[in-house]
Amino acid sequence: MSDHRSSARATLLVFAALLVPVDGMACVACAASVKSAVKALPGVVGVEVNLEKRNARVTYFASLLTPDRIVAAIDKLGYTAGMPKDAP
Amino acid sequence: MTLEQFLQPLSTGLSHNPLTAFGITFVGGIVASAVCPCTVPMGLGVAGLAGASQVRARYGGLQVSAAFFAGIVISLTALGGVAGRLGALATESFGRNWALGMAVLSLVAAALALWWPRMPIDRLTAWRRPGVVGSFAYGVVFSLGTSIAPFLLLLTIAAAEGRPEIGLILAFIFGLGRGLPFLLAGMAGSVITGFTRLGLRSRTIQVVSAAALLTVSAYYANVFAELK
Repeated sequence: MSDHRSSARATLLVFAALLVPVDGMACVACAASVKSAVKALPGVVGVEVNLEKRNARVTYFASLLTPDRIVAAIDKLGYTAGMPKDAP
Repeated sequence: MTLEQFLQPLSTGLSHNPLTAFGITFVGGIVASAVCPCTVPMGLGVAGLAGASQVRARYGGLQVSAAFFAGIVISLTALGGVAGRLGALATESFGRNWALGMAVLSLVAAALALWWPRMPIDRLTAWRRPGVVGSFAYGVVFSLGTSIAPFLLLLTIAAAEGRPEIGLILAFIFGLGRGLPFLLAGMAGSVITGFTRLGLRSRTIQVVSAAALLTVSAYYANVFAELK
């Protein structure tokens, strides 16, 4: 029983990092709105938007959030999110 | 179609048909204005600044909007010359500081729009030049953070050609397209103010101008907060 609980706790703490390509960002305000929208998703720990490479690095708890929801949140803003890749 | 897709033909067209490539770059600058969320609040701000300057002097609005436009074009052209270091402008930490700087500058411009028309005429004359220089500086600072992503893409394409002078020309043409909407917004602000100048509405124009600049300040303060 106790093993089961600690395993569940460990699942909750599974940490993941993704690199999501984002097309259509023009300026700092675009970066700010992408960051704000992704940060508002449950389970997101941090977001770093890179305008030069046109991507967003998202760190999150994998048990609370799926990559699809991150992509959907970016697309909803009018930008085009590409296929997420595991970030180093 | 995204801005990246719009600019993509440049990668093949630069050496084959430079005139078309320059045309695409100019329209790219205008399209960058259309897709950039900064354009509407900043356009209102420039119109407000021009309107407030028009109250002070006959061609004041035109001078101020032309100075802002020149600030954008000259700054982007200069950035084209130091393309290799532009990545520093695309980082989040630069973006945060830039947004804060824009919020403070817009706040100062709003205060000046309200305060300047109350100054005695001899002091106003002395301040006119700083008004134009200030607008130029405002345009320079604005150009550093806005549209930096398509601008970098443009210079990457130019860099692939291996000819730095092409980067400078493309940067200059892109700057013309990027600055044009603000020049037009400033001219519109001046014309509207010019029509009402003889009436008793100059105080209203000052308040509306200051309100437009305060909106810009609040907008960039919000961008700063979102990037924290």
